[in-house]
Amino acid sequence: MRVLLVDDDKTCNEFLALFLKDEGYEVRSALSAGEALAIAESFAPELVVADWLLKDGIDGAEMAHQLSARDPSLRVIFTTGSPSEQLREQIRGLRVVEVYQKPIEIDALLAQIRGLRAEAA
Amino acid sequence: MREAPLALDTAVEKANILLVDDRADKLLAIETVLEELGQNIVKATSGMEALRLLLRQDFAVILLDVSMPGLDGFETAALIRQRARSENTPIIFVTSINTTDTHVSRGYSLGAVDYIFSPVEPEILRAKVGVFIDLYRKTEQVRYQSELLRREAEERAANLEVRLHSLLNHLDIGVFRATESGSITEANPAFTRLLGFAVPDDVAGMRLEQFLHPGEREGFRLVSGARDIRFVRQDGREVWVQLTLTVNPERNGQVIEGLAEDVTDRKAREHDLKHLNETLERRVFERTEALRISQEHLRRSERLASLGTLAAGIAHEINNPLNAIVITARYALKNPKFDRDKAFETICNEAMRGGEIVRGILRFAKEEKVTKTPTDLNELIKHTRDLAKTYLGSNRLSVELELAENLPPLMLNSTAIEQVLFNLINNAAEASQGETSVVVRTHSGSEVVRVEVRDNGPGIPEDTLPRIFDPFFSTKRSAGGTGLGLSICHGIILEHGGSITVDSQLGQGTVFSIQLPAASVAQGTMKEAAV
Repeated sequence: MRVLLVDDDKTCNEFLALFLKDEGYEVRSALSAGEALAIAESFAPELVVADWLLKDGIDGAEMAHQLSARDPSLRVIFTTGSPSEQLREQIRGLRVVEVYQKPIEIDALLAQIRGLRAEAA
Repeated sequence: MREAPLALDTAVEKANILLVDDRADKLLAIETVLEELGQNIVKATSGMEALRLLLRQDFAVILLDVSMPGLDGFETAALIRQRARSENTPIIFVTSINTTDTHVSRGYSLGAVDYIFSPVEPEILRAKVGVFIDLYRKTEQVRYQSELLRREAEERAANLEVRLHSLLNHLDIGVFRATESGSITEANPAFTRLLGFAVPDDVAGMRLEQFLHPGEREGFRLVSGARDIRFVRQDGREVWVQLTLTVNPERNGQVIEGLAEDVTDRKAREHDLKHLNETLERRVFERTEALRISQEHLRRSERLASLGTLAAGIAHEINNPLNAIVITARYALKNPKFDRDKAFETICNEAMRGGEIVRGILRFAKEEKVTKTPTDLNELIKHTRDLAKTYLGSNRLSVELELAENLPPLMLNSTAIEQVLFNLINNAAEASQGETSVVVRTHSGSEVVRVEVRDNGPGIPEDTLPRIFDPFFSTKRSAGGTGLGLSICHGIILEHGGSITVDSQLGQGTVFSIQLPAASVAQGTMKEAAV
């Protein structure tokens, strides 16, 4: 399964990628929404794990909407440092699996992604 | 003059001439001579008869025979002289030609004005009597005119008195006279009414001081001058009186003349006006205070709104390093072959990042008790420039100063403002890749002092500009920025009642402008004085 990680925190991206690669996923990571959209062109992710707040003007929710427009089957998992009602509003219409609050429960996240892979297979 | 002068009448009226002689032939002879003068001739045949006639009328001249039986001429003359009314009437003695000098001098001593010797020379007699007639006429004229003048003066005085009396009676201002000790002797109706009496006689003999309000008695003196003073009327009502006294010397000591006007209404208006002014001042103060409080609330709510943004930012910023720590640790635990040193290094770095963010937050959120002192902004800028060159490296940073002269001292927390200036210079230095030229300018306006920090760096993109003062907004996160620097600057300037704005053109540079209120010195001083 192709997973795109989007977080402006480099360490988070790096280690989450290590976890997923160890479990056999095809992983790409991006530090900004712009970079993610560019990668998605060729990579065509099935799952996006994205931080809600990104720094370059386009936030995670907006980016997910743009990606979903291209691939309506795209699944989305959000991570956020500060969950809010605003986020619930912004993710309406997306195939959002879960919103994880940072620091994330890594085992729960990995279990959920495994579930998605089984579902897809 | 309304009346015709008497001179005209005396010219028409005949003067009386009295002839006294016991001999009818002599009387007739003189009468005949004097008839030509055209005057009124009265004849008496004895001294007694002459005296009787003199009781009834006045004569211009008396021709008196010296030798008469009974009262002779001298005796008659002496009696005539004794009466006041006739003491100055000219007497001409008529005597025979052979009288002695002694005889003549006696006549003069008895008040004769002339002698005529008989038999008379008609021309001489007429001429002499004519002189006295003229004299009489002129005397009469003078007498009449002086009488006329006297009467006119009396009339005018009487008129003046009537007018003054009327004026005093109708005047609405109390007028009175009092003795040296303040006992009222005269008063007009207005003064009488002022004291609560019906007629002026009621107040005569009363003492002025007995009408004074008890609170006014001490310190009251019967001396010249005007004063506003409270009276208590006969009916117990309290009135304000403008009392003007004049102490004048008189024959027996001194007299006090006074004016008294009821100014109770004016006093009430003054009181109302004073009250109104006080109310107005109080309202202005209350409004100002309310405005100050609402501004305070506004600033606090702005701060709270800013805190809301801040809280979300804090959660995000703190949770990111925590997230990185957790993921790294979990990964290292799960994979014993993973490079532990690398994991620990990462965890330490992330923890330090979290710590740095917490420190930034503390600086931002700290409710410092800001003490502001009058500060020379130009000096502060020079000092900060030196500091920046020391820390940022003078070889790649040039800071040019264009400082306005006669800059007023400003109420500043110099440490905080120095932090702002240092931050702006530091940003400018970091924005430029190569050599940086920063210009700091000050400009003194009537109400604000402006500081500009201009750099020749690459400029700030348009979409970034509006968020530049937001907490945790950073374009140099990779370089270790917390995104709090400019929002701290913004907070400090707001705290000083000023504002900070940014203007930037890509490829040309950026200008940060700080406006600080020039009036803050005076306000600060007042605040301090009030404490």
